[in-house]
Amino acid sequence: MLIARRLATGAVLIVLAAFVSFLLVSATGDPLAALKAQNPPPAPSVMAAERHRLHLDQPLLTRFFTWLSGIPRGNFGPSVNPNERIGPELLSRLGVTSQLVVAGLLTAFLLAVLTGVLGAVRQASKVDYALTLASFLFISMPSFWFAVLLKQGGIWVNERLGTTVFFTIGSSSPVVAPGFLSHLDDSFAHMVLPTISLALIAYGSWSRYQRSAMIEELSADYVRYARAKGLRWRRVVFKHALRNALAPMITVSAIDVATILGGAVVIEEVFQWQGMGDFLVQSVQSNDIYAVASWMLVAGTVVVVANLVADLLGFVLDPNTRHE
Amino acid sequence: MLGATRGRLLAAISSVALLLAGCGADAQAGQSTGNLAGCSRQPDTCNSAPVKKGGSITYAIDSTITNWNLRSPAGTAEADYAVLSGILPFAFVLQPDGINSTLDTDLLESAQQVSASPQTIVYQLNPHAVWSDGTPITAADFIYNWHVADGVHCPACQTVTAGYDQIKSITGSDGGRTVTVVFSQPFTDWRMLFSPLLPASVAARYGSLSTPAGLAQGFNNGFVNQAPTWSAGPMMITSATSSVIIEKPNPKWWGKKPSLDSVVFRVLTDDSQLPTALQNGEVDTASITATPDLAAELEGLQGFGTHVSPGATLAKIVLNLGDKVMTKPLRLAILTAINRQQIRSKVLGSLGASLPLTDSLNLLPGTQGYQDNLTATGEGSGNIAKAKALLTAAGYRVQSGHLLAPDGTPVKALQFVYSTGDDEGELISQLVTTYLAPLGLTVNSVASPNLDALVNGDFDMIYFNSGIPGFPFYGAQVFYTTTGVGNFGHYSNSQVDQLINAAASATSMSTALSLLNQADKLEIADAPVLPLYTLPSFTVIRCTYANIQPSSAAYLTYNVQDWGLRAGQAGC
Repeated sequence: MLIARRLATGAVLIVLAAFVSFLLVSATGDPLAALKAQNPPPAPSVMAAERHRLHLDQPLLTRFFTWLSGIPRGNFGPSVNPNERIGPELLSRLGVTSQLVVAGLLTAFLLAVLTGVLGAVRQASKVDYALTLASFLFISMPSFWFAVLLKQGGIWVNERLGTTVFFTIGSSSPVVAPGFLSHLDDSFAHMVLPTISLALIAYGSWSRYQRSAMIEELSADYVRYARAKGLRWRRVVFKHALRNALAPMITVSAIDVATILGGAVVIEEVFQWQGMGDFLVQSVQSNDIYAVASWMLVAGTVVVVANLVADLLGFVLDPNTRHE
Repeated sequence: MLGATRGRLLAAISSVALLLAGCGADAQAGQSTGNLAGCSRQPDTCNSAPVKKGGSITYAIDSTITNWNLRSPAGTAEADYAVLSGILPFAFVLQPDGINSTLDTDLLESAQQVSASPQTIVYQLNPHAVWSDGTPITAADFIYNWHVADGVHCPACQTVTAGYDQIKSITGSDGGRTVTVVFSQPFTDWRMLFSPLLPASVAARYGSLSTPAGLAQGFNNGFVNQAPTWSAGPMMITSATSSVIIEKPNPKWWGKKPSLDSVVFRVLTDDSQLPTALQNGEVDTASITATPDLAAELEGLQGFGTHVSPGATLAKIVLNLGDKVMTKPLRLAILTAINRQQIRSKVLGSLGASLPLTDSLNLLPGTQGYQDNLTATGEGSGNIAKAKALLTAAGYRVQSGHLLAPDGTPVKALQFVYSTGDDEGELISQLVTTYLAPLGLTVNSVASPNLDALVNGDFDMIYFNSGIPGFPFYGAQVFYTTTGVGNFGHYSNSQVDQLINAAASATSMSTALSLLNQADKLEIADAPVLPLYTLPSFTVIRCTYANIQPSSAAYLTYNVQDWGLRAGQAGC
């Protein structure tokens, strides 16, 4: 029942977000502007045909509902780029971005849990201070700037090794030797730097959150009781305290999927990945109304689903929430 | 020990600081370097050297190809030209100097005007010229390319009709290898026609060539949506995704065989990522519109040659004559108060040091017939005293720092529009604001996405770039005649219309240029537009490659069959 309610709320939110973005892009830009500014400019008949193709000769609300009603049939509306089909393009871009986002999320999550727990169990030690310093450094550093530094670092390593270990543009090489291992190797070499850049967007705050949650759990009565019962410290930390400290962390990381997606827009630009971020940037630049609204719909769905998954995981990890 | 550690730390911090400082350094960008050092003197032949067989090159293009039809208005981006120049046949090819178009001798043995009245051009095709499926290139291809653009056979075909709509007939003889084109009205820029040429045989597979609907289907959809698997150039596309396009030699190519095994085009939408991509070996060459900082960074890379070409696109400030506030005295005063030299210096930095200001609205420096029609008028001189005198003479006056029109009403604040994200445009708007302040004029800078304001007429002054390289007569019709589709400032002068139209339909080049210069002087006297300079095109090429020449037209692949890895030492 709760899941159904969350799903329904999510669906309404997604449609609202898509409508607002549809409205904003429609109000702020002319999808035909680039065509009109061509050198030499096209004939009026060409403009009229484009206007009709993009449904710009119809009222705004009619356009929105025509677009929305086409989506269940897989029709995401016409793009300003005549040979682009928004649906398949978005799907392909989602695949590219998913690689980056999933790898970034997992990396950030694992690092944050690891260092958060370490900082908590070694509270006020040199290790804790070093990790705290690192966290705040990553929180305060602009992700695009760090990404640029990482690229330079990657090139420095390549030059020292005399071979290309790290790539700085794209998600794959134009030509890859046949074979699964070659493709895997190539993908890995392209993913390392952007994944680190993306992961560090969330890592700083997550590690602080994990450390606080862990310190709170470690000072709880049940931990002292477990130790008093003679349970081993490692078992108390990992079996009991960490499990409880993970529940809020999972919720936070699921909520931050939107932040990570936003970060991917920047990271994809720096590393020239042709994913969702690049799609959004190109669509906004070309005033591609249907493409922007479709992006918002897909991104909104991803965020809503991520939140739903976080709720479900919360139920599993924290039995108290099941009674809410 | 601690001192040594601290010293290393300080050294490391200093290195990072220097690295960051380098980003904003006022380096002397603009010098030709490495293998491109001679390109200022010999743009068409520099970087020439013997090459060896084999190898590949990666060329960075700035956008995904969203329209594969070079004859479609939306398919004329620089990236499209870069990718398709080695695929499509062109009757005339724009040379690296960005000024001269020369006969494509692989496609044509000759193209000559054999009669002035009616204007008749005879194209003699190379007997070996074939499409990659073996179909000969014949008059049928010329006829198809005429029919899609004459506005009669296919009104729905989305293309430029200029020149094609003046063709009366096209006939083929000698088995279609001799093509005779007769014009109903003379067209001075006839060399711009059939460049490029699309294959009629492929079009026939997309739709009927004898019906408007069939022609439109092929032209607007078939050629637009599908990357060409056919070719009549030295290369052909073997793979195309949204981020990478790979070309390999066309086995049916009858001309000089390409030396390279493949040319890879990679989409790099953010120029600022180019230096690291070059440094890391992921890209070998690119041609971009660089900022001085980016140019300095690229010039600092080891193993690359760089060159700044004058460019073929004119940067200009257009005034909106559609608003009654823009009277002729006010326009003259505005354009006189603007300091072009200072704008060039501030915007282009050292990149602009070797680039001349453009003193004509219709012809670019270095082109045939170019002359200085502007300097004598004082427009663009930054002469505030003269600007004030012009206003005073027309009855304007300044009261409490605000300019009042002759009827006593305050002149409204003027909107200066530039394209969103265009740093140069923003800087120019700020400079213009300071130039016009002493005249009592307030200027509001407005960023417009995709220059929407330009096409919607929502501006008083606007900064943008335009040009039709190599074809000034057609360009003049587009930008300065009353009904010109690129006349965004609503400029109108019947005498100018007559002169431009006469120039565009003259059969003698000297007559046409003379008429165009007469029109140019009248236009400048009316002060609708201030020409600034041609935007420099920046080319970077890895030293190991030869026979790639930087191009003012911003695409390098016009001679892709000559490209190759140097047989001897690297060029720098």
